[in-house]
Amino acid sequence: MERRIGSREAVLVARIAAGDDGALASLYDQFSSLVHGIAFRVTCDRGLAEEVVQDVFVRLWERPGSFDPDRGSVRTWLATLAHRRAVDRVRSSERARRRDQASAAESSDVAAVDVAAEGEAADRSARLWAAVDALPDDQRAAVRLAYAEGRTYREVARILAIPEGTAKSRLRLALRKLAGVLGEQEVAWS
Amino acid sequence: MELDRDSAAELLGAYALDALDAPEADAVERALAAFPDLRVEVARLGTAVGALAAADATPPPGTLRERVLDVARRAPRRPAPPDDVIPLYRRQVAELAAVLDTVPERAWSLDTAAGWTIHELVAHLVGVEAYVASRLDLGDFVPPPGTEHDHVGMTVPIIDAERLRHPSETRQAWERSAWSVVGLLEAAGPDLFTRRIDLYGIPTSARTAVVARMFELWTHADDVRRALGQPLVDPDAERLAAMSDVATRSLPTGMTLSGKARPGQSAKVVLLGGGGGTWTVPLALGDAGGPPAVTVVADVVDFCRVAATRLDPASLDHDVEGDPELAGDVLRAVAIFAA
Repeated sequence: MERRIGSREAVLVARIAAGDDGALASLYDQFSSLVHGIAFRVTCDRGLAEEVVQDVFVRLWERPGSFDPDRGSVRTWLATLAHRRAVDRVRSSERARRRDQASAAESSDVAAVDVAAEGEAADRSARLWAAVDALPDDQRAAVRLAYAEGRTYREVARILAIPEGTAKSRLRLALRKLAGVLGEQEVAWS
Repeated sequence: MELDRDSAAELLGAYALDALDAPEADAVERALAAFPDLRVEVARLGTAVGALAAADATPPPGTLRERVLDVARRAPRRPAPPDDVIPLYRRQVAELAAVLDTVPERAWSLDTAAGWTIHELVAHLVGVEAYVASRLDLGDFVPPPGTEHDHVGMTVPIIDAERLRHPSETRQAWERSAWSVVGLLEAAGPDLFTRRIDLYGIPTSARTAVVARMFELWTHADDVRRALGQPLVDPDAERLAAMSDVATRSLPTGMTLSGKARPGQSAKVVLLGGGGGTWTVPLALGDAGGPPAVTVVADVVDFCRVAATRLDPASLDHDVEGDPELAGDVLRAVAIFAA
């Protein structure tokens, strides 16, 4: 008969919607390292990173309906949510100001990563970071400032001393290239 | 601020990287709602951002896990099914009446999954309405001797009598008695639900009896649709919430009646979709249960169809964690609800 209950990950999210905390525990076990890693990368602060982890999973528990399986995987959704929450924290915290001073010199030099991500995800990620290294310098610096430090494109423009319009288009161009590296079908960009 | 398509497109990279300030991000989201092609691009860019993140994975401190799960456990969100199920029952009666409106003259003799023709099925319901009204002290039907506990048997004389009438008369008789039961229920109001009644020899609450009736009318409405080649119709989430709640709570009875009782054990039943929920139920009548020995996950509508014996447990699309044999027993016990 027709499969009504969906893929494994989508089922876990649907179980959360049905109030099953066991499903939340499963998704936590699977993705808390991912969420925590992003949060720590962006905030550089253990306390803030833990707050982000809690925020993300409590939101998943409270609003599982905001996950749309047609728009991507649970992994991407949680990663996106984690990044957004971490950026919010950084922007609203005093750290942002303190860090501004230390910023420009080291910011474009986010260390290559050596942490245990597993299986296919790790492989994709390794390929992607290699692709980041292969980006033209200006695009690489822009992506790293936005991704790893939670900078807005206006800040990226200021730090790199380029026009805001250029910062916008570099971010978009760089991500398009990286998405292409993930081996998904090419899309004819408008 | 509002963005046209091209200006929004320019911002998609920054959007995917959360590199916009709040008003700009809101404006992009409005543009995404308006331009589907931009949603395709943003999903793709988001995948790249997610993949970058995988390399950063570092486990959070172990104590955080319990903290997060505690917050979740303290905030259960499944709304309880409404206490007053009479409006839901009214809706179900109206739905079956509407389905019967679509039966063409020559189709009354078509066979249904209930084992009767459509005409006989409606005649059976005439009897059931009379019996249920009498159980609620709202009527004076007396089952033939020896059939007091036999849902089908007690309606046989009525089916035999109705066969001699034109189906449209039987149908009118059902609708008259069904609406009169609805009217009597509405007049009695939810106070009725505090009462315990004896239904087919099983002591139950009046509320459960009304939900069981709702289950029956939904199932037979689908029986008629199936016979007519019409698509089946899922009940709304409110009715499903009431029905799935009663079906899962009947599990201890079902396990005991099927001889599969497991004192000291429980099953977790997770039903997906609107009107679903999570229940941890003991696996023996009158037992307190214990930690779940098995978790069964299924779509809420499918699960209700199993409870109504219109879907074989073996054909149910479901996931099991724990003892698979016990999961089979649980699903077969759920179907005892209808029998």
